[in-house]
Amino acid sequence: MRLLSCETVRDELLAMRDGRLHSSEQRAVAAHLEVCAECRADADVLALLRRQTVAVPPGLEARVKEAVRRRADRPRRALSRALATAAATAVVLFGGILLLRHRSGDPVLGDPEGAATTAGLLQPVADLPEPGGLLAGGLQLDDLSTEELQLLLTELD
Amino acid sequence: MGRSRFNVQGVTGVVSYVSEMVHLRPQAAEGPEELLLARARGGDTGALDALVRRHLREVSAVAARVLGDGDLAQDAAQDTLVGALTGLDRFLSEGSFRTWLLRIAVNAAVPLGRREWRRREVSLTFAEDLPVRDPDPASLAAARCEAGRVRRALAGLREKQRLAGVLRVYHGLSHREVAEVVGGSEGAARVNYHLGIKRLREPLTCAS
Repeated sequence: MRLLSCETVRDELLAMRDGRLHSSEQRAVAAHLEVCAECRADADVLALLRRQTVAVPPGLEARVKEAVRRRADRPRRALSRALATAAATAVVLFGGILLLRHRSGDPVLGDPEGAATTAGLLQPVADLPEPGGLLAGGLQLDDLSTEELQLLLTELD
Repeated sequence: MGRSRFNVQGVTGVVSYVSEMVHLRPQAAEGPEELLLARARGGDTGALDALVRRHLREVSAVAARVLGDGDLAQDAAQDTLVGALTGLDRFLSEGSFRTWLLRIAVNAAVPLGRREWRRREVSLTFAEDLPVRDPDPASLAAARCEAGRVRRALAGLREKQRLAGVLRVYHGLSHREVAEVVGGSEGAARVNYHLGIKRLREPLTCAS
């Protein structure tokens, strides 16, 4: 039987405990342990450590599965929220552009008649400027006397 | 099966220990891991559940041993699996998923442990004095005493020695795999493991 070094034996102790050594190797390690107190102490330590095992606490599996699912679901929910936000922003922007274009009299989306129609709906007719009215109250030049006209010209000068 | 189960009430939580070695290698009941990972990347919740079921035991065990605290270990296990399974794009498929997961678990557990141990002076005084609810109090009390002794002895190791010991003794990692999980070279992992076991001799074999 070949003699093994302490280093080799200590590296093989776990394999021996797990039955992973060939019978000849196992016999060689066992023979070394018979005569080597330090390696035997290591074997005792491993035996003691191996007696301590840990079980999964009750409920942990369900909790972890739930947490994994929640986190895995988060990117999908975030994407949905981002799409909804983008859609809402687009609607608001589009509405704003429409409003601005109507106020400036620009035709909208190739519908020249639609602009006038929409402007009409948005602005009361009574608020529009009087085309020929120069004076407050809607008076016309024809309504003024000669003296009043001269006075108006003097003021304008 | 002759399993003798008992509970050790921690300072802030409960860790159940069984008095026999149970191999923590993930089970392959749900099919090939590569297939599960591909499905999980596509958001398949069934595959995500299967991966949790397959790896939770090992992840929570390594966290419990690194931390020595049941509640913190549960937090670390949850953080590990949530982070890993929702970030599968970061996993390079040519490596071992198990090793990658253990590295995340160690990275999650170690900082928690450092903070907790600073906060509590006596970090691993698990309540071995708590009342025993098992019908065989004498043997359970002895087992709890032994569990407490192991935990204190592990806590007394340097961090890398403890990690090397835990990953190799309980999770069957090779020195190379320990190096992958903890960082550093394979040689350093080997040295840390042997020094750790050597330092455990006195507290674990003389005190009994």
